[in-house]
Amino acid sequence: MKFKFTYIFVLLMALCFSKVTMAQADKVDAQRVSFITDKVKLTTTEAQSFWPLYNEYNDKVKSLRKNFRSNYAKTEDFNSDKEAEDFLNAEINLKQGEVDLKKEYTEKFKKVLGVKKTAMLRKAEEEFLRILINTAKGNGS
Amino acid sequence: MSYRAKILFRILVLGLNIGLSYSFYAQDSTKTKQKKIKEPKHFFSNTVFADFYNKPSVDLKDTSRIGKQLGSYGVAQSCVSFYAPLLTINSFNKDSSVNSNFHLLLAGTAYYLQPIFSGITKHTLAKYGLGVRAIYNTGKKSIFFIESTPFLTQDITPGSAPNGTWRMSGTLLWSYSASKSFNFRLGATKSFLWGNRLYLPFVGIRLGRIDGFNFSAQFPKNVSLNLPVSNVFRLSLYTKPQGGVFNFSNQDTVYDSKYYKNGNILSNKIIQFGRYELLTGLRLDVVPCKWLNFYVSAGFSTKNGIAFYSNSFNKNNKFRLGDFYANAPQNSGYINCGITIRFGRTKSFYNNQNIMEAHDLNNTIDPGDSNVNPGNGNIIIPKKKAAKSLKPSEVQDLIDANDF
Repeated sequence: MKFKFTYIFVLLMALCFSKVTMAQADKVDAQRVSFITDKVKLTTTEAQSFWPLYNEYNDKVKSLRKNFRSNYAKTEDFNSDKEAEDFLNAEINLKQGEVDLKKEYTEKFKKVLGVKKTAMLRKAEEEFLRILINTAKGNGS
Repeated sequence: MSYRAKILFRILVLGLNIGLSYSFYAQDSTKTKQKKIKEPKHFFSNTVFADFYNKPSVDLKDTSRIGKQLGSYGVAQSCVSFYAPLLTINSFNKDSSVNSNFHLLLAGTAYYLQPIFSGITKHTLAKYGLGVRAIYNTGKKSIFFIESTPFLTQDITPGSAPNGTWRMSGTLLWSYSASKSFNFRLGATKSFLWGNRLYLPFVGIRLGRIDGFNFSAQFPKNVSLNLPVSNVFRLSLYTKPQGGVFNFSNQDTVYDSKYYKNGNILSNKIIQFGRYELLTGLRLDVVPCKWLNFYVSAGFSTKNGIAFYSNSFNKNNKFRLGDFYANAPQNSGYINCGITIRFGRTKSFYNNQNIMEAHDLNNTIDPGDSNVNPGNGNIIIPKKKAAKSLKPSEVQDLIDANDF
């Protein structure tokens, strides 16, 4: 019985640490949220309306990127012109999708936060992105 | 054309249609297979949690016939429960300022209790429950919660008579967050947690942020002082009741009808065992990632109570059960540990106070009325410190390749 429990425990630990990479991405996500909270001073009412919307926007952007990555991340060469064409179209569609989402949600953010705070949000996002890129660059690979 | 011919003709056309569509698709060898990753549908993940509890035996110090027969009393308990989201309806109002949502979850439990009496057979009392719970977040300050978990209680000790009693527990709640640091809950609950069938008001209050240091009193479920040391380690000082009413095979003749006026020889095979205790202890939750958390807890078990109820005596009783034996065992220490595993992607709810409240509600009220809390491991504690080292692969969905 004791052996079984030890076995289950070790298995769970292994499962847990195999997910560390994804957990790290979640942590970064959480840090971005904290960063934005600090930079864009939201009132309680604004925060209540803004965060569900912002989370939804981020989930959609991430989903678009994940979709593209799952289809093309491992592609190193193209077997036909058609395949290469598909890749180019998918990349343009991704960018277009991101722009469409940005446009749609900027309008929504403006309704909830006003123009000034929406602009501050974009600046905060940009600043966080810069920090993130520098950290990732510093780590190489 | 006869009716049969018409049907045959239609089937033929349908078959041709399917065949042609398939061959057209199959011939298009240049078509690249596109994987489509769907956006997460739910805010709640599929969650399985297991809890193990043990407390040593203490002498009942009772010279009555049953007291002498029972000898001493200890408890070993284990429980496996789950939640699974069935339906989530998430909507925004016209100007996107109010995000309301409805969540329907399936919940179930398998609970095993071993009341260890030195003088009689070691009984294993099981409780199997399956129910649903609905949570409605208005998107403003209120959340409504309703759950109902019918459960079957059964003595599964080898040699016990086949038996089983269906019981119903349930909770109806209104949760109101006046601010991030103040929440109160009002409602009602039908519970067997205190060793009897009770209809109780539910009154809860929380002072402090849900994702920070807070004091929470949720009568009749628990009172706790929660201190998140970090996102990974979370401490909690708590007091909570634990107990229930279980079918108990009368194979040791704990209930002997010849001693009771209201006795009925036919009811002797099954009696009811009720127990409760108040646990006061310290709990450490370890949350290495949002898919898993485990905890260890230890403390003192006080206000112990055990009782046996005769089925025949309580036949028409719809409220508090009347006992034929009751005892208040001495205080003792206890140990408790558990693990929670979450599966599947969920929608993000960073800083979404209402969804965090909904998660807390769901975690506070466990399925099957056993008061086992899986912990708020899915609520992220905000961390301001920036990451010191990152691999691009870890942030690939957050940054565009061109940003580098």
